[in-house]
Amino acid sequence: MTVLTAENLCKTFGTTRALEDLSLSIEEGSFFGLLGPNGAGKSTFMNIVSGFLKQDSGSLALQGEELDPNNIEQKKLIGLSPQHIALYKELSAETNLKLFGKLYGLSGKKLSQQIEYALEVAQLSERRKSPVKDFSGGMKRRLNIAVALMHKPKILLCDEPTVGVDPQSRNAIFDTLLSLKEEGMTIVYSTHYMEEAERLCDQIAIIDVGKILRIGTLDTLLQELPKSNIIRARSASLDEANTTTFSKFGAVTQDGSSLELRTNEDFRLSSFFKWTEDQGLDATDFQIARPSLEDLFLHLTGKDLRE
Amino acid sequence: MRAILTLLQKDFILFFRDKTAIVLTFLVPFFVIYIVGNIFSGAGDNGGLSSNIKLAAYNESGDAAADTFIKALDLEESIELVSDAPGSDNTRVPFTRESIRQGIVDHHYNFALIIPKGYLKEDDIGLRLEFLSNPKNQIEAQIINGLIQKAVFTKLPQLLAGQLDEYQKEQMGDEKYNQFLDGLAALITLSYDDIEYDDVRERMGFAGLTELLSPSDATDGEDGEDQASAFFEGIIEFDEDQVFGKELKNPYLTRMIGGYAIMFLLFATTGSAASLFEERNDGIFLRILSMPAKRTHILWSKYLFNTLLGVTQAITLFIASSFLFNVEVFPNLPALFIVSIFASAACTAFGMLLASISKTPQQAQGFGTLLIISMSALGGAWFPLSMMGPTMQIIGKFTLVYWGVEAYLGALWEESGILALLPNLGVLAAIAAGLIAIAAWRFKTGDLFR
Ligand SMILES: Nc1ncnc2c1ncn2[C@@H]1O[C@H](COP(=O)(O)OP(=O)(O)OP(=O)(O)O)[C@@H](O)[C@H]1O
Ligand SMILES: [Mg+2]
Repeated sequence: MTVLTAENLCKTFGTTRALEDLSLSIEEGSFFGLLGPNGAGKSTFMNIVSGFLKQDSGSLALQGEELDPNNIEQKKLIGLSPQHIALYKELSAETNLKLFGKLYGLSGKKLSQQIEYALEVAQLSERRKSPVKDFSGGMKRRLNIAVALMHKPKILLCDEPTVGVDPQSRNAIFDTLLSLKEEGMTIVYSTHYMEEAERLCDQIAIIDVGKILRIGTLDTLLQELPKSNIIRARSASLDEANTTTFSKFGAVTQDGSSLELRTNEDFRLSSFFKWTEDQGLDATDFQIARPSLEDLFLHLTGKDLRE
Repeated sequence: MRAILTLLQKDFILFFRDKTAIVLTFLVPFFVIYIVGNIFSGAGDNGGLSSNIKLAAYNESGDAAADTFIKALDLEESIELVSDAPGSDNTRVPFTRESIRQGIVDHHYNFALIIPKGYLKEDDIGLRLEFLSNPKNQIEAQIINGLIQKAVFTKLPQLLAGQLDEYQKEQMGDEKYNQFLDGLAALITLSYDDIEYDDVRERMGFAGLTELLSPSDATDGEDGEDQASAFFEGIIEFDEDQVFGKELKNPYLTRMIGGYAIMFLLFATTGSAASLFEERNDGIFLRILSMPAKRTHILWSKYLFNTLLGVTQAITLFIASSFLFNVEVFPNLPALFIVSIFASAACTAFGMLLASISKTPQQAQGFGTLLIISMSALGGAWFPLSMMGPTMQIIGKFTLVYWGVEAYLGALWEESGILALLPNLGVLAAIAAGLIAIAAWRFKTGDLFR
């Protein structure tokens, strides 16, 4: 069952087109990724869904019903974790949760229960009394997400929740989100890290300058790429003669201090290893990679996902 | 409603968390009133100037009647009379025409009076006095002018007596005039047993009678002076009945404080309207609006919070003025409280409107300062509106400052009951409603939520 559908959403800021005819539909219980570079329009989409911005044209439906920013029942189904930390810095984690919980309409026992739950999710039970301004970047991020979970929404919108977070905290966030998904929550997740999209998302929309370029599962998206591998090597490990013979396996491009080779259709791994042996090279100096979303983005737009 | 209360609670929690803000909230009104109070109180009736005004006086004519006039000026409490110039070696020497003028040039005093040699007009009844001034301070100049006029009027008989005799002599002719005085003296002598004709005759005419009754009559001394002033004061008698503010200990400050309260409210609320921008920039609005809350909820919660804070500060300001300067606040506290609610509501609405039409907090501050200062001047917060021309008086009525000042004056000066204040409160309420309606509309469509 689809829980959220967007049809031909358009939004411009002055002369900037932030969204252009954006259409998508999100299945209930899925982990939906919005993958795109800076300025792609990810936040604009999130902010329209959450009711902060109004689209210029196009429609949005939540569970088949037109989304209305003044409909309080609809808003209770959605939780937004904004891209920028939106917390009262002077107040403690607990007070923040309390105030925002009240805004979601919680009170009494239910409110205190949800505060405990959110503190647990954010792993901040021990620091509940500390003001947010004393938290590390990762702690703030976790609390920023936890606030959006206070009312157990049906759909959680996470706008780049891992920016500026160390790998360990990042993994903790991933685990939390994945377990929320296990519980049946629909998660809409925006990022410009293709690794995150690959690791987490069931469905991925690749978005650039306000337009959706492709939507699909990771596998269907990657099928679009020619069936080739990428072989990377440090320039220093090859001499001039090696490089010439290396290029018989495919097209070589120089990227800084490394060489990148996109293999030909008839590439055989066995003949490549034989070649390294013949040349007296160490095979472990070469990295062989499967094509990624990064490559797909490059393929679709001619530019890198990350500038 | 629930959302508004939660947001209001949030503002209070934030406020009480910020110790500096709390201290400032209560300390700033004290400071403001301390400064304003020191300017406007203390010197009683001289218009709020705490020290006396220096006036140099020089009697060039050497005339005794002119001396009594100078003496009368000296008796004025607000005037500090200077009657000599510094000489060599720390001595003081009598004024000359040059030295009295030099005193103004050297900034020893700003006003000087010369009673010149021919101070009595020769061809007409009247005086010719010379007044030198450096009217740097408008109020001082007006006060000095007023006091000199007062002295002239009370001493007029002495000053003009000789002239009046001359005038009469001229009108009647020498002969007839002398005959008239002879007859009059004879008549008086006949009416009393114990006086000599010659004595009376000598003192006939204005000059003689004035001398008889004036302090220069050495035989009577102090008594004579009392008699004289009693006589002349008796000529015109004022029955004074001040209807309002009669018993106030600090009338000038009491009149001014309402204006300063309004100005204070305006500055305070525009300052806190800037906090809207802060929350927007922190992305808090985005979060709140993704929740079951609307833009108008944010607006109303801020509005309520700032209005309440404004009332607290205004009341603090009045209570401070009571403790520091004896302004009679406590008997009128209920009325002041109610006026403060309406005034603060109107001022806060102004602040919210400002926030809703500005793009940045800097813009809000800039517009705010400009508007507040001009409204305060036009609306009578700085000086009474009655001092301005009729057009300006009408313009003043279009400012919210005017109605706030009037309401506060009503509560504090006229000690009116709430009923009498209703018209002013009604206008304030209408202003608040109008401003907040525009602000609400701008909030729905404006830049604050982009
Ligand atoms: N309030 C605004 N005023 C003007 N332009 C805006 C505004 N918000 C977004 N834009 C523009 O709209 C476009 C899309 O912005 P958006 O924030 O949605 O991108 P994004 O995909 O979230 O990027 P990022 O990864 O940097 O967060 C950008 O060109 C941006 O400059
Ligand atoms: Mg963004």
